[in-house]
Amino acid sequence: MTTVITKTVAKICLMVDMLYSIDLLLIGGNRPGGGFIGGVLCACGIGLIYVAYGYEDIKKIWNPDWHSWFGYGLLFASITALSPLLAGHNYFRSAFDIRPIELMGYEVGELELVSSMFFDLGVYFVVVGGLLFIVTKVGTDKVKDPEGGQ
Amino acid sequence: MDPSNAIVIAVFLPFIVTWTLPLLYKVFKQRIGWIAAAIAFTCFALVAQVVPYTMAGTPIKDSWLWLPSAGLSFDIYGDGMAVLLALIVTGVGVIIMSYSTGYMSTKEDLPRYYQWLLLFMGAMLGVAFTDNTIQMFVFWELTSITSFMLIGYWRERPESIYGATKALLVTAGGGLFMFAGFLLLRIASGTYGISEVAGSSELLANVHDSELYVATLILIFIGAASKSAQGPFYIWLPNAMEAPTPVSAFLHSATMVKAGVYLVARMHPILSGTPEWLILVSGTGMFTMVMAGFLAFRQTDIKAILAYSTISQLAYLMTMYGYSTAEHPGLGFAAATFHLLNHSTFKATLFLVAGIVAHEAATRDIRKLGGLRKEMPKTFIVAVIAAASMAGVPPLNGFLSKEMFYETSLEIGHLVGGPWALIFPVVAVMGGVFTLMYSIKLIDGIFLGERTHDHDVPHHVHDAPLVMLAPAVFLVGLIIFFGLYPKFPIETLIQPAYSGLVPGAEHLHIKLWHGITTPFLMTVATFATGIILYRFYNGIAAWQNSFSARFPWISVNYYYDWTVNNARDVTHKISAVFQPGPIGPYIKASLLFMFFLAMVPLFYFHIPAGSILPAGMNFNAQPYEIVLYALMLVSALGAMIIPRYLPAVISLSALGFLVSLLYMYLKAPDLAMTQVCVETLSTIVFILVIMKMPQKFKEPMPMGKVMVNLLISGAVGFAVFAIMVNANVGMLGSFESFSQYFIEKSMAMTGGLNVVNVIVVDFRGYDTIGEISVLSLAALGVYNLILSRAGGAEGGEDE
Repeated sequence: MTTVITKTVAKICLMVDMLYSIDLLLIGGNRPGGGFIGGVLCACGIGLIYVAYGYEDIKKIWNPDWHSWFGYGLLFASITALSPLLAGHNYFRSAFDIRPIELMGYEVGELELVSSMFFDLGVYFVVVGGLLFIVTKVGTDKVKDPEGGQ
Repeated sequence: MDPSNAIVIAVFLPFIVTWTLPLLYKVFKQRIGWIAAAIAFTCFALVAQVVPYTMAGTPIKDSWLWLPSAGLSFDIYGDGMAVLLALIVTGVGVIIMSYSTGYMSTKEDLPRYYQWLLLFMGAMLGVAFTDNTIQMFVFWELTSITSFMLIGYWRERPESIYGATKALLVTAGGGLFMFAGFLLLRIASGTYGISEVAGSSELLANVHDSELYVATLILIFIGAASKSAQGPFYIWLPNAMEAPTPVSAFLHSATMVKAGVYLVARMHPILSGTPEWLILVSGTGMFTMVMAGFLAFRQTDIKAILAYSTISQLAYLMTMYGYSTAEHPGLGFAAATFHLLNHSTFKATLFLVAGIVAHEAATRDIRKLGGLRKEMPKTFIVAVIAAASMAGVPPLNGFLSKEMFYETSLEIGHLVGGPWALIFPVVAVMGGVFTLMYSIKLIDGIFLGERTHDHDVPHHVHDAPLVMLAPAVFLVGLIIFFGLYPKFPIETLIQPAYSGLVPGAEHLHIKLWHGITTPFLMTVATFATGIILYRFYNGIAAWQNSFSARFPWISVNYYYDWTVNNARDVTHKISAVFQPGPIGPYIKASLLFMFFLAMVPLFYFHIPAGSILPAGMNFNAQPYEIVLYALMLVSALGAMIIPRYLPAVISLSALGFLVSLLYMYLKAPDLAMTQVCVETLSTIVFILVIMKMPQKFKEPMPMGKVMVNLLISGAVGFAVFAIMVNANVGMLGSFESFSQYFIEKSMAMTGGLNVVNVIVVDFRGYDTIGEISVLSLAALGVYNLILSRAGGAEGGEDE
């Protein structure tokens, strides 16, 4: 698996992949995308790097604990979901605001602020953390007997 | 502060603070024990505020509805008895937690230790102040669980695991009996309230006249006896000594084991005053008192001796609470309550001494110890006073309550009459004699005699450090103070508890010296017999050892082990049938289930309508669609027949990508994108695994197996197909589509144009949070599976 071609392609893929993944997360409200799909895409990119370079080598350079990613993501999503209670609304109630962006007096676009974005961000982190946690754990599993995998 | 608020804060403060301990640990490190002690002291101060109210005879009663639909409320009731127990719990808690700062090594997992201690304290305060049986059950089982965690604190030791499991099975199992008893009580009285029943003569009469009375009494008493290690349930307490010594001092001598006795006291106004009560409670108590006192002889571990002594002393309390006749329902109540307080002081001290000795001399085996009085003079004095109090030597507090025990035993014997006039006092004296004997043995074995030279014991044993000695000295101070000046504890604690639960309680007068009365003569007889019999102590112990070696089946432990081991074997056999290990059968089973799940409703609703294919199906397909379908078929076939792993997996993922193309064609870009990503990721995971395996399938599958697999997958494929083509055609009548609702509201309510995503994060956000929780759990599950397969400490289940 660890040929030069795979490595080079994986590296390029990762960059495109990460950008697209963040884009998907941000545009999720209005166009196809969202936290879940963005997270899966991000996990794909990083997983590909793991396959191409080998987990052990990557681990020496960069080794985040993925389990805390999904732990904090879950916490973040839950807090977002419960925070409307503080304002006296039902939980999961979302709010949004659309503001024009002005540049030197000219309106150049608009910025949409959506509170459910935060929830989606939590989902994103859970997905990235959970999937990569599984990938790394499965990848480092020591296969003892050939029967085990079937 | 308002007393009912003080009680509620005291109950919940430990529960809240316990979550912050891991964070506090980062700041305070090993000094975190002082934080926990401070919390315990705060609770103590809060509970102490209630004392003036109970002394004035006005118990605190308050109630908050929390589940009105089930008629459940959070009820607190702070009377003298509750305050007494709560003060013991928090007071001993302060002592134990500060002692622990010296006892526990700084290398231990201290946050976990103090977290569970605080949780236990909160649960125990909950038991003390509860006024409804459901709430009592919840806190009761919580004390069992925290005790389980603390006994098993040293997780890697098999003895700890055994002891913790045993304690949990016995006490939590007993709690279930108690729960059944509470339900019967509810049927008889019509309420979950405790003080409500106790305060109403009509409800009391209902309970006593009910035909369920005996069953209620027995069930509730099983709960109390299992918690307080009475009768056959005593077996868990000696094994619970595997806990760290401060835990044993706190939970398994001073507080948690008192919960059973406390329950008996709490139920006293409701259930006492009948012959059944006397026979059950006192009978069990007397039997346990003599048996445990006798069995203490053959123990060689200091903590084991203390454990049997605790069982025996708790049996004193049971016996006295059981002394009850119709005219004098609360005959032994005051004596028992006073002894409950005294026992907490002297037994906690002895456990602290045991901890000091084990800490400094590196062993708790009484055969290896001896002659430590010169090296540990301060500990020696502390131990002598505590042991003397336990044995009932004047002028210490143990003497006073033991006198009261003898006195009430004479009275109950007189009231019951016949041979019982002799049996009650004689059994009481027997209990006293055994207590005296093992008390002497403790002092004799550790401190007196020749200094031993066992290789386990260091050459130079130091006296205890101040942080461990000070708590013990404080308790000894209480022992002497209560002995010389009993008026103080009696008036502030015992009298309110007594008057609060026994109607028509007289005023208590306790003096050190009554003159030469029958109880005093009984004490003299106890001392004389005990000192004479002590010469045969080792002989009796040797005889017990040979006896139990010859008749192993006479011990309750024998039956416990038999039951638990058999339960393990039987469940192992059952699970071997349902969970054979290889993944093939699981997949077959779930696929077959899916087949039935799909086919049963299909046939049930559809067959009357005729063919399996709905009318008006559209078979027209564009040429490029046909190409797509053909490619899908080819890749599916490829995944099936290619005999090497890697190409087969690639073929399978090709099928997935083709499916996402189909989604694209059917105008579902969200789905298509998700499918692409998920497919990529699962291919990556597959490849990660497969890279480590031999690339060829190991052996060709036998033809029969292939046929079975083909049959199952064909059937499932057919079922899914059938349900899919019929889903839209009114198999169950047509549903009204509600997608219009989402499309209309999406922009207005959430500002999002992508309805799919808006549904996921907004309208159905509740589902999503469930899904991401499942994803997290799945990740943890995978981790655990791999960990257990790697054959870690658990010893792989796969073998």
